Amino acid sequence: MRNFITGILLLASIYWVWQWQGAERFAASQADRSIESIDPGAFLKTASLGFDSAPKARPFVATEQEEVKTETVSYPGMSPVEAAQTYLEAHRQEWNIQMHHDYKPVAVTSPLGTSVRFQFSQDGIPLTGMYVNIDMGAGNEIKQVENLYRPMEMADMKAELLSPEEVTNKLSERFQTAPDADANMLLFAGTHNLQPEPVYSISATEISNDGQTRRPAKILVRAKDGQVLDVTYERAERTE
Amino acid sequence: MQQHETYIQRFLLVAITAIAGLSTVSCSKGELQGCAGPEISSSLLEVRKGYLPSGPKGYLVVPNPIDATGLASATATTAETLSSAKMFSLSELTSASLLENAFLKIRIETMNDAVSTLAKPNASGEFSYRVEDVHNWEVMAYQSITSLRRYVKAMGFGLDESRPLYVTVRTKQAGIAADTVNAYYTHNYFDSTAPRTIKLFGKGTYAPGQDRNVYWHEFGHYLNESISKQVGMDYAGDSGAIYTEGSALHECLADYIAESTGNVSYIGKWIAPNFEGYSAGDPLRSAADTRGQKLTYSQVSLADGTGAKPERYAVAEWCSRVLWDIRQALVAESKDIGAVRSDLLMLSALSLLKKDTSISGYRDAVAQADQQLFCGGHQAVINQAFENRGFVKSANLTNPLGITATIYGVTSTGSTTSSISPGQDFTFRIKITNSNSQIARNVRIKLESTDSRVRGTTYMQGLGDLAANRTLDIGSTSGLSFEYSVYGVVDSATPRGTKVSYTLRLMTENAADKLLRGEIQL
Repeated sequence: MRNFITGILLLASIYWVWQWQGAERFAASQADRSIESIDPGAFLKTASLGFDSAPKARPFVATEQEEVKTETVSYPGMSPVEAAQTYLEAHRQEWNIQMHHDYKPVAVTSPLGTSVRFQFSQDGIPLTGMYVNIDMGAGNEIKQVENLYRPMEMADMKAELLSPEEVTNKLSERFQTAPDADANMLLFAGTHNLQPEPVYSISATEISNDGQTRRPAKILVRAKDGQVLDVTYERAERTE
Repeated sequence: MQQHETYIQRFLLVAITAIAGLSTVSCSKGELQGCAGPEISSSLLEVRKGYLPSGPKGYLVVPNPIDATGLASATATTAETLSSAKMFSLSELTSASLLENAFLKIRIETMNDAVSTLAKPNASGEFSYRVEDVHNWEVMAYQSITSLRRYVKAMGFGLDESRPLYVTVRTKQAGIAADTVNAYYTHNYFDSTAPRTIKLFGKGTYAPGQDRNVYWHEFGHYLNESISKQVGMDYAGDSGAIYTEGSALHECLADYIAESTGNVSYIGKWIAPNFEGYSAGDPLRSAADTRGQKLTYSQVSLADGTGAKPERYAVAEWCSRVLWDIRQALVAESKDIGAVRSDLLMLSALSLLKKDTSISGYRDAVAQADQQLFCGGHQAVINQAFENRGFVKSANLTNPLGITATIYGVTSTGSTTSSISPGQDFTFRIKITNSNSQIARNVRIKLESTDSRVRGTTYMQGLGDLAANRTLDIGSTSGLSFEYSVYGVVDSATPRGTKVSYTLRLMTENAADKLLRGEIQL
């Protein structure tokens, strides 16, 4: 009888402890689940998003604009760059990557994962405005792909183009350039164009109309006719 | 029976204690392995101190004469400054005679400076220059950027070093006046082969080139772009926007990394006297409240249509106080490694940002990074830090924002025309009305087009929080200037007589977007 009572009480105490631990375990599993929901290892593809239609949604939340696929792809045992390149090559046909386009991967890592960006070029001339970005988790599982590649035709490099000096001379008084300003040739992959356009990226100082504000800038000028297509400004410590 | 009860009670107590004890051990173990974040080793803490382990020596006053001496009156040549110079190693040099390696290249005026004009070691192999000598600034540039780069990499961040970073410590540039004091960072988004640059301008008493914090802040911009995977966290700002929340975040995080790495809650004591309204010894910006005044979001974010408008550096200062509050909490939690955990959190959050991000976006990214690094152990701290400084979720607007716009051509001299020709820039006079009794959060105006002949150049502007029952008038003499409007250009190859379409998108975080479609008759 004594043993029986002891046994019952022991079982009861074990059950009580098990219940208590179970609650802890349940809470832990909820926490694990919330982590999983942030990093599900799922594959989300944001297909051919132009800059203007970049997703406003938080990560892993699909919007109407996005083509979403859920498949798990991972490349254990490879370096992140190798993994991303393997993934890119596996999609070469689907994305219609042209033979006249070369690419170069650049990886950045953080404690949260690795991101590999593929920049494209034609005959060594950088294509500005298109890239593929592949985000991966710690086990090289593909988490998200941003594909801004467009299968554009070859740029016509035989067309009559202005020289950097001619282009610089056509700039308005808004831009001041040094005589030895660097002017690199690029190919501008405009969102809606079939062919990229040869352009020069030129260092300049933009001067406001009242002459009060002067901002170092890079201007993108079309080599065919000298039209300024875009301007980016250097990030200033103080706004003049 | 009583004996039996005692026996049973003792047995149960032992059993429960043993099982609970096991449970406690296993919980602690799990916590240490899973929720303490990446390992923070003693060697990482050493790296954080900013000393490089080997290489030629250089003499520096760090971070600058005012902070090094504690004297607001200190200059480059005062006796206290001279006596506070210390010797630093300069690791990772490609050669012992030139301050550069494959990634970082230090110059004085331009990227093309002749090598013969640059700092050289003396017969003892030391880079020994006085603070007022520009060669000392070169040494400061190399040492400070290399030490911060080394620390960030030691935390587990692999940076984009596919292109070199050129630093010019006393820059000369066509169109920029010789007496200009400023500092610029360029990421060179257009050209994937062009180097990144940090350009410091100024050579007076408080030259920026003499201050480690200036290099750390500017290198912070590079870190922001690299760790955020070059998504263009403030691409609108890069494209000419006067203000966006992304631009404020860029400055905030550049301040944060300089302040946190230096373990001081301010930045810019050295360079501040160059600017109006600052006395020697005043910081340029502070991550802690000053004069007992708590800085809240509404003090820096509101546009009220009568002159008040957000400014990127003011919002950045507010933001840095939020981040500093979080850092303080993490340091209180763990004195030895709290600051490193905070740096890990703030920088990791960058990797989650989207293009043209917002303060809400960054707050969510910090919370998400905390979830992934620390199992969400600091969610309350993060939320409280933002909320305590007035950044709270806004209720949805009852009425949509109102918008009217008139398009103008812009001539090469900046005057406006009512007609627009092919190849001409154009802009808008825009009126935005908030007829609600609540503020409209993070109001932005964006120019879009599906027509390839129309390109947005300064394609977006941020206008801050629009006060209740107020109207913003952009492009009027009584309101905000055209600088606060969006700009575009029509391709010069477009024939005259053609109509091209565009859309103005009015965005706010507490109401649906509003679209205003229009056509340009060339």
